[in-house]
Amino acid sequence: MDKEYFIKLITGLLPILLFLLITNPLLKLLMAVIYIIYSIFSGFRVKLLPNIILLFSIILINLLSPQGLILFKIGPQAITKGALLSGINRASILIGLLYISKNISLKSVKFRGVAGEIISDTFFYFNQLTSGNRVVFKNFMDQIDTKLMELTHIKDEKTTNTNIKTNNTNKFFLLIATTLILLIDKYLLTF
Amino acid sequence: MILKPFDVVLVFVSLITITLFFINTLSSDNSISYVKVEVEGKEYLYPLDRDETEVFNGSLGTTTVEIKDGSAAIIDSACTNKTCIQIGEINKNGESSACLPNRVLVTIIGKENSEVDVLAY
Amino acid sequence: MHINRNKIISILGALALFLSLIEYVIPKPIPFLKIGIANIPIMISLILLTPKETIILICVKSVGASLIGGTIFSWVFLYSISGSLSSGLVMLLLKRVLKESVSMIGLGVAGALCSNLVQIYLATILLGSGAKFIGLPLLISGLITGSIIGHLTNKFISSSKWIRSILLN
Repeated sequence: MDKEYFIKLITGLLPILLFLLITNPLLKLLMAVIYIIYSIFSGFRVKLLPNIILLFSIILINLLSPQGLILFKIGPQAITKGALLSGINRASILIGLLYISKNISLKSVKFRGVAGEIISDTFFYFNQLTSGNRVVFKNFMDQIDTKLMELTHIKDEKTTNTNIKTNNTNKFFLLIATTLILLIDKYLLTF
Repeated sequence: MILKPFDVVLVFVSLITITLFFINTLSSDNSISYVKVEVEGKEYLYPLDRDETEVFNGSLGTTTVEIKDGSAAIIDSACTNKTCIQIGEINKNGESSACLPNRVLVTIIGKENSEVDVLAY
Repeated sequence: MHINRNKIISILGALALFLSLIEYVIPKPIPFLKIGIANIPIMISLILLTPKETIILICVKSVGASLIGGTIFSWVFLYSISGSLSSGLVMLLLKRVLKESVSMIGLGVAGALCSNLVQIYLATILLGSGAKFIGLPLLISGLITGSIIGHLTNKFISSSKWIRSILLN
């Protein structure tokens, strides 16, 4: 295993695992916000409004299944602390993972063997699907069909990814930031 | 016609299997119930179908409520008589358990404002 | 243009992950209730891929979806992959035996039933016997969503230019 491959593997996969180990929903949200800010600094075009809408709609959905302390009631619906936190948790996972994967191209990690190739290709195409034009629900099937066509005819530029220059010291930022937040989660917070 | 012959057969087989499953679990009530815990003027809600152990701070000390296998029970409490623990598991709508010295009341309620409540009382 | 077989698996896998992501955001009034839109690519694979390739696709989908859902290191992953594999194997078997006399509606319903039964069985082992109380709504919703997803897949297969291009390949 060459050194470059190893570094890519660590900086790529470890932040994801560490992020998922954070148990406090508010810290998870903070982490997701840090990923977004980092993405902006890395030059990605980030739209904030869709993320905010996503956050609030997932929280709203989770509030429908009560869990834990009743904070207040809106009509017949009890708004509970547990449901609120579980909504924040889910939304943060979704948003956080989206922006980690924007920053680390799993495709640049070369998995070995045929199975590895299929998995890394799957993540490559998945990134293409999520980063393309927004899919609307009208004519959903047609849009999917068009996307599949596009994916099939992407020239295999992914094999010549040496021209995509990514700085490894930058990549360590994600790993270090996630580790710090995880340490706070495990050792400093006791509520 | 959107259905092919064996689509109908498979839907039918599926329906029969579900019916058999339904008969198998007929004895139990399938509505989603919640465990409501009232302590020191605060109210807590927990789904009865999710296993969980929660500790509450009452006026004397802590009371532990365990939700397991669709039943709730007070398994530990800071009172002297421990009658709450003797009440044991509760799982039907309207059933309740309480540790009066510690001012903890545990009640099983149906999904709020559902018709099940109206039918049950 | 020749299209690599593994590329088709990867594209269908990516589509399954994308649909899992959408599924994750859709409200679920009952815990464990799923709509199963991520199974559409699996059903498409029944006509595009060999049985072995379909099973590889199911594994790729399960691992990837668990990574996205953040459940890869919990028993939820075991729960998900056993459900997916059992429904996949049943659909493969039925498609093989019944060929053109069955459409995706029948396969979707059978697949949903099978994956739900396996998952209810697993849940009663892992969570205790109380888990079977969620079984009935799960099975009924599986019948409904299985046929809807099957119908959508039928429509997609008949109209998709992509599938036609792969089959002609």
